[in-house]
Amino acid sequence: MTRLATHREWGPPDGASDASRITRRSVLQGAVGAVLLHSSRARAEVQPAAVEPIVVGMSTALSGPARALGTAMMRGVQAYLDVANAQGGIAGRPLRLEALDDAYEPARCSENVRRLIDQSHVFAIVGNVGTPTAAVTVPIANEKKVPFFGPFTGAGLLRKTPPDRYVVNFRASYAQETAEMVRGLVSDLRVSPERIAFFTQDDAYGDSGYSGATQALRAVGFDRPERLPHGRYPRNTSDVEGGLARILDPRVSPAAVIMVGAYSPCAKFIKLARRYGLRAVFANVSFVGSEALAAELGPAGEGVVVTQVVPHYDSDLPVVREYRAALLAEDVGFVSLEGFIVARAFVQVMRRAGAKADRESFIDVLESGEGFDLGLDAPRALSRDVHQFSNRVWPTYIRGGRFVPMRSWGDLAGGK
Amino acid sequence: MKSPTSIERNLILLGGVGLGLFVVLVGALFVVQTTMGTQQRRLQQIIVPIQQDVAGLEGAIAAAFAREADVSSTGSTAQLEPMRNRTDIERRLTQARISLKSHLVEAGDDRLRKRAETMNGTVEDFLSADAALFASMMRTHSLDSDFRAQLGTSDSELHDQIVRVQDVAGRAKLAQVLLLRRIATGEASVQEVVSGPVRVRGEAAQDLQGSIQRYAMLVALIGTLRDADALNSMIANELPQAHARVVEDLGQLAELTTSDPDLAARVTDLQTQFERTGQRTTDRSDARSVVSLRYATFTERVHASEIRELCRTTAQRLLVDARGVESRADEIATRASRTAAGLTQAARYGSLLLALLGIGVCAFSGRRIMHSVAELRATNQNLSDLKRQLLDVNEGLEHTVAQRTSELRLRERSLQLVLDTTGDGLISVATDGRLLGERSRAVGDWFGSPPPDMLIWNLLYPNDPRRALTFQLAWAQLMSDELPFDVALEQMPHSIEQSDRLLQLEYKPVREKGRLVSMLVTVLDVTARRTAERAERDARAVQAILANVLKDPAGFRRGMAELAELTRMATHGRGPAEVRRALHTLKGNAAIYGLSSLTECCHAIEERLYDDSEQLMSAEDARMLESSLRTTMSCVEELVGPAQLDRLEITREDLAAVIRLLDQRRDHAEVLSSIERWLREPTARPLATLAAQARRLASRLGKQVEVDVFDGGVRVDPDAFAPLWMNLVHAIRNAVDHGIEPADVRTARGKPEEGRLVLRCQDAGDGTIVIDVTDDGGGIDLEAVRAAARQRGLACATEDDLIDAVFLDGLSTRSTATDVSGRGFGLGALRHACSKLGGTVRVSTTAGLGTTLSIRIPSAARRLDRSVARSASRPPPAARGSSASSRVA
Repeated sequence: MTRLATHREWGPPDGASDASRITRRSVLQGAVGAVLLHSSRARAEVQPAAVEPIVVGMSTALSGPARALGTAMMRGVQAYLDVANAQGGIAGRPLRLEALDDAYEPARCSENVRRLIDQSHVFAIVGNVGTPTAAVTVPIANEKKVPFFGPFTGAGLLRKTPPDRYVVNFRASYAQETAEMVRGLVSDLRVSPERIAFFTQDDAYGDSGYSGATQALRAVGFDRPERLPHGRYPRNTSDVEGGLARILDPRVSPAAVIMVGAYSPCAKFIKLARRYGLRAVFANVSFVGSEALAAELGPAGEGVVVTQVVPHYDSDLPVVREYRAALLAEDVGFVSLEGFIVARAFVQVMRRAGAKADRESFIDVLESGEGFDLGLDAPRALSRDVHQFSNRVWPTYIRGGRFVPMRSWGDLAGGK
Repeated sequence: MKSPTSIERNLILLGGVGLGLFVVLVGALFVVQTTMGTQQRRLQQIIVPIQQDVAGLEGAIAAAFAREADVSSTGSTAQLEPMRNRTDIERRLTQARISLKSHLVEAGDDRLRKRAETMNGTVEDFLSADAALFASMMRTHSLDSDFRAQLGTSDSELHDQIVRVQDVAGRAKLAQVLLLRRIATGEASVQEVVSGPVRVRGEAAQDLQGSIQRYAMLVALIGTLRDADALNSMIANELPQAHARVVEDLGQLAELTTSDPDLAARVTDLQTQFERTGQRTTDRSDARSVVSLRYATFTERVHASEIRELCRTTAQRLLVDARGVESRADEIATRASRTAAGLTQAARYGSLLLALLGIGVCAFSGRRIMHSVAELRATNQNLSDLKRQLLDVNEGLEHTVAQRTSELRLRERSLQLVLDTTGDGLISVATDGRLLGERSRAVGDWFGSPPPDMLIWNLLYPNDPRRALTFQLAWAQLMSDELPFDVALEQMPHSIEQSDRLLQLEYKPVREKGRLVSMLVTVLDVTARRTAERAERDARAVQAILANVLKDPAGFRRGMAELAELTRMATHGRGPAEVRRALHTLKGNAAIYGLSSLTECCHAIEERLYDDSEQLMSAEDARMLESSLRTTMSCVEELVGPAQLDRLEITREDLAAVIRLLDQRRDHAEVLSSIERWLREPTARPLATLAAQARRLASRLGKQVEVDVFDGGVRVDPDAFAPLWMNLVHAIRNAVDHGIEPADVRTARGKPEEGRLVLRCQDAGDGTIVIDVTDDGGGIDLEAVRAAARQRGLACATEDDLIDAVFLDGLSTRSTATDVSGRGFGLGALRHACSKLGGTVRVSTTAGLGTTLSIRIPSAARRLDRSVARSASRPPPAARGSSASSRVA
C-alpha cells in the first residue's frame, strides 16, 4: 500500500486539482484495500500511510519550571499544522509534528534533537523553546544541515552576522526587546537611565537581554550602563534573594527594573521587591511567559510590563483572527500565538518550495528574497543576510489580571 | 730381450708416476672442494638462517618494547582493549624462537644450544610479564575511570551545594540590605547594623561561601595529583582543614540562623548534604570514596611500573641472548671462512709441490728411456741373425703341409655327397656373407649354381636388389654384437616367395670355441603346406555363410540387399562422413554374416581413408569394393543357390496347427489365414538384428545402452516390411547417438548411467501393427529444430509442426554430422517407407526424459503386400513358384 503512494508523481500545490487527485487516489486505494484486506477497518488504517507525511520535530520543555512555555508553543504549532493539513498539507503531503520533552535542559535537548534527525528523519526542527537549549541545537542543525526554524528565543547566538544558513528566526531578538524597553522607559516615561536596574538569569539568555539593553543605553548617550545595579539568579532556581539584595541596596533607587528571566523567579522577585517597598516599573521580555507570569503574580502583577514579539491575541490582524478560530479559548495566549505564526511561516516557505523540496531547496526558497505573507503587516522578505521574519516588539502590561496592549509607555504613568 | 722390457718398465713407471700425481692432485682438489662446500653449506644453511632468526627475534623484541610502551601509555580501558590481542607478537617471538632453536641444534654448537635454552625461558618470562602488565594497566584504567566518575559526582554535588550556599548568602545579604534601607528611612538604628545578628549572619554566610568554594577546588584538585605523596600531603593537611572550615562555618551559620526557620532548614540541609559529600570524597575506610580510589589507582600504577620494569628487563635479557647467539654465529662463520682460506692456501702449495715432483719424475724417466733405446738397437742386430736361421728350418715344413691338404680334400668330397642326398637346401655361409663350399643339391635346383665367393643375398634375391639389401643389412646386424643374437636372428627374412613356390629360411650359427665362424642357412619348400591352409580357411568361411543362411534365410537376403545398398552409399556417398559411416556399417554387417573377404576389403579401404578425414573413396577402391561384393554375392549364390534364400520357414508347430484345423474341418478362411501366417516372418528376427546394431553402435560411441526387445509374437510380410526394417535403423541410430546422453550427462541429470532403448512390436488388436522405438534420453531439442525449420522457411508454430519438420530430409539440428548419424535424412526415409505401407509414424518427445517414435501399420497393408511386395522385389523363379502355390491354397 505504501508503495502505491511513493510511485505517485507530485503535482504543483494547486488546491482544486490536488483535492480531486486525492479523492481519486483515495477511491483507488479504498478499492485496492478492500480487495486485499476485505475489511473497512484495515482500509481506514491504510489510507493515512498512503501519503508519506512531512515530519517536523520539536524538542521543548513539557515538564519542569518552563513547561508552560513548551506546552503553549507546541499547541500553537500543532494548531496551525492542523489548519494546513485541512487545506491539503503541502501539495497533498500532510504535516506531522513530533515533539519531545527536554525539561529546558540542554543535555536532554541535544539528545532529543539528534534522535529527531537521525531516527525520525524530521525535515526541520520547529518551535523549540529556550536559549540554553538553542545553544546546543544550533551546532547540531548546522552539522546535520537541518533547518532550525522559529525557536522561541531571542538570543543573539541565533542571530549571527551573517546568519547561520540553517537557523531561521521568526521573532525579534531579546536585544530588540530590551532596546524597546530602554527606548520606552527613557523616551516615553522619562526615566533617567541611571535609575534603571537589571535582574537577569545567570546564563546566555540573561546575558543577551542585558547586553541588548546596555547597547541601547549607550545609544541614548548613557556611557556607563554596566555600573547600573544588576541582580542575577541561577537557572532553574528561585533563589532571587541575592539578586534582590543588589537592587534594594539603599545606595540606589531604581525607577525601572529590566528583567530577563523565567516567570517563576521573576514573579517571586516582583512580589518580594514590592513587599520590601520598591516602587518601580518591572519590564519583562517575552520569554518570561506572559500568562504564566500573570497567573503567578496575581494581584501583585498590576502594571508589570511584558514586551511581546507577536501582536496581542485580541488584535484584528488576519493571522490573529485565524489563530483565534483555530485554538480553544483557554489555550489562547502570546506563546501559542507565536507557535501558530511560526508554523504558518514554515508552511508558507514549504508550500513555495513544493512537496518534493529537500532541506537545501527549502533554505534556497527562503533566501530567494521574495516576501512571505504571515498575516501580520507587510510581507517580509528574507535573504542570505536576513534570517528573521519579524523585528517588531509589541509592549503590553497587566491591567486587572489581563494583558493589554500598550499604545505608548506613557500608558503606565496614566494607569497608575 | 732385456732392453724393450726396460723401456716398457720405464714407460710404465713414467705413466704410473704421472697417473699417481694426477690422482693425488684430483684427490686433493676433491678434498678441498668438499671441505669448502661443507663450510659454505654450513654458512648458508645454518649460520645465515641463525642470523635471520636473530634479526627476526630482535624485530619481535622491538615490537614487544613498542607494545609495552603502548600499553603503558594508554589512558583508558577503551584505548587498552584493542591491545588485548597480542598473538602477533607471541607468534613472532615463538616463530623466531622455534626456528632459532632448530637451527641452533643443527649447528651442533654447545654454547649456542645453551643460549637457546636460556632464551626459551626468557621468552616465557617476557610473555607472562607482558600479560601481567596488561592486566595491571587494565586495573589501573578501571580504577581511574571509577575515580573520575566518583569525583564527578562529588564535584556536581559540591556545585549544587555552592548554589545553595549562595542562596543562603543572598538571603543574608537581602536581610542586611533591608536593614540598611530601614536605617535609610530611619526605622532602625545604626547600632543594629554594626553589632546586630544580621551582619554577623551575612559575614558567616560569606565565610561559608569562601570555605565551601575552597573545599570544592581542593576536591577538584585531587584529579590532577600525580602521585601518592602529593595526595598524602593533601589528605593530611589542606583537605581536612578545608573540610573542618566548611563544617565550622556551617555550624556557625546554623547557630546564627536559629531565629529564621526557613534559613535554618536550608543550613541543616546543607550540613547533611555536605557531610555526605565529604564522606564520599575523603573517607578512606570506604573503598569507593574518591580518595581511596585515587590511592588504589596510584598503588596499581606503581605495581604496573614494576611489572613494566620486569617486562623491560626480560626483553633486555632476551635481546642480550639474541645478541649472544648472533655473535657466536658470527664467530662460527669467521672460523669457517678462516678454515676455507687456510685450505685454499694449502691446496695451492700442494699443487705446486706435485707439479715440481712431476717435472722431476719426467726428467728422470727421460734419461732412463734414452738409455734403453741404445740397448734396443743392439738387440735388433741379434734378431736379424736369428731370422736367417729360421728360413732354413721352414723349407722342411712346407712339404709336410702339402701332404695334409690332399687328405682334407678327400674328406670334403664325401661330406658333399651327404648334403646332396637331403631334400632341403643347406648353405654354409661365412660371417661376411660369402658362400662357403658346402651346400646341398636342392640349392642348385632352386637358385642355380652360384659362382664361388658369391654373397648369400645375391644368391637368394638375384633379381630383387631391394630385398637383397634388406637381407644384407639384417645379416650385418646379426654378425655385429649390437643386438642379442636371438633378437637379431628374429629379424632375418624367414621366407622367400618364388613364382611357383614358397621357401622357408632357417638359420643356425656354427661356433668354434664360442666364436661365430659361419652360418648354416636351411631352405625348406613349404608351398604345399600353405595351399592346404588357405583351402581350410575358405572352407570355414563358406561354412559360416551357410550357417547364417540356414539360420535366417529371409534375414540373410535382406542383409544382402542391405550390403548392396551400403556399398552403393560407400562408393557414391555425398560426403566423407557418409562414406565412412556406410563403409564402417558395411564392414560390421559383412562381419556379422561371416563374409570375411568383404570385411577385409572394407577394412583395407578404411585404413587408407583413415589418414585424411576429408577424402572420399578413390575410384580404384570403389571398384575393388564393388568387385569384392560381386564376388561375395556370386559365391553366396553358388554356395546356397537362390532357392535357399527364398525358402519359406515353417515350424512343426505351425504345420501341426494347420493340420489340426483341417482335422477339425474348420472354416476355409480360418485355415487360409493360418497358412497365410506362414508367409510372414516373425518380427523377432529383424528386431533382434536392430537390437544387435544398436548395441554395436552404442559400444562404438562408448555409451552404455541396454536394449530390450518385445516382439509380441507379431509376424509380417518379410518383403513388404524389408524397407521399413532397413530405415528403422535410422531411428535406432538417432536414439543411440542423439537421444541417449553420455554417462556423465546422465548422472548429472539424475538418470541411471546406463541408457535404455526399447524396441516394441505389438498387434493393436484390429490387426494394426504398432512398432515403438523408445529411448530415455534427452529428447528432441525443439528449439534447435525450430531454428533449423525457420532457416529453411518451414512452419514452426506448433510442436506438431516441429515434429513434422524432424521428418524432412536434410533437416538436421546438428552443426556437424558424426559418422553415425546427423545428416537429417534418416527419418525422412523412414516416413517414406511407412507411408508406402499405408502406415504413419509419429514422434513424441519430452525434453530431458526421452523420445518415442511410434509406427502404425494398418492391417490392410499387411493383407495387400502378399501380392504387391512380391512382384516389386526380385524373387528367383523357384520362390515365385512357392508363393504362387500358397496363393492357390
